[in-house]
Amino acid sequence: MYILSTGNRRQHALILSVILLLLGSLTACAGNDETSSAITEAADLVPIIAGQTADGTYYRGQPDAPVTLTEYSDFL
Amino acid sequence: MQGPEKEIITTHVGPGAVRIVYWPMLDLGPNSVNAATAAFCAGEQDPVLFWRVHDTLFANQRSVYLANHTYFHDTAAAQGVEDMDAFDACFEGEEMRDFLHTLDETRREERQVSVRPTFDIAGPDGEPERIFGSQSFDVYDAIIRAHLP
Repeated sequence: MYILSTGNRRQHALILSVILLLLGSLTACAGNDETSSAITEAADLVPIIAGQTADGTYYRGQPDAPVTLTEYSDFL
Repeated sequence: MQGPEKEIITTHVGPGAVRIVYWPMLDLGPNSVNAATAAFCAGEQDPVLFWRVHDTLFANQRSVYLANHTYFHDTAAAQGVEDMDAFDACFEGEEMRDFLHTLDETRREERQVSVRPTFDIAGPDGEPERIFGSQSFDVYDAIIRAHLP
């Protein structure tokens, strides 16, 4: 019968921790494609108020703000 | 706009002095259209989702250049779009793409915008001051303050 001594238990716990760390790293690497990189870049610029203009495009900020900054640009 | 946008939002949009309008340009091939379509299809469900997808795509422009449908689908889902069936139908359909091409035509022909990016900053009188290319926050800040009542 194999009985774990305190020393053995520590050794087994250490080995188990290393295995779990390696598995975690492999999982992280497997998921590190373009999609996940996009997802992890969480946007933090969004204010609470956003809406749609009469032209059908979008604004953020108070709809009756005195100044309007219109940005014409490409996503690329 | 990525660089100074956060500062503009903090300084002017948050306090209610400025609203930012995004007008798409579709000059750089199929993924110009795909990226704009993804953001606008997200916006159909909630305007805040338009901005979440917009900001995420801008923060990952290198990936967007070669992205496929799955990339746009996953980005929308990650940013909180809940009805992904509706998103996919919008993204794959022609209606939104046709609408975006109409906006792009308006940009070119009526608004005479050809430089990417271009910014129009207008006060209560509606007369815009136009600036081109990426600028520092100080440039936007000075023009915004000049147009505040």
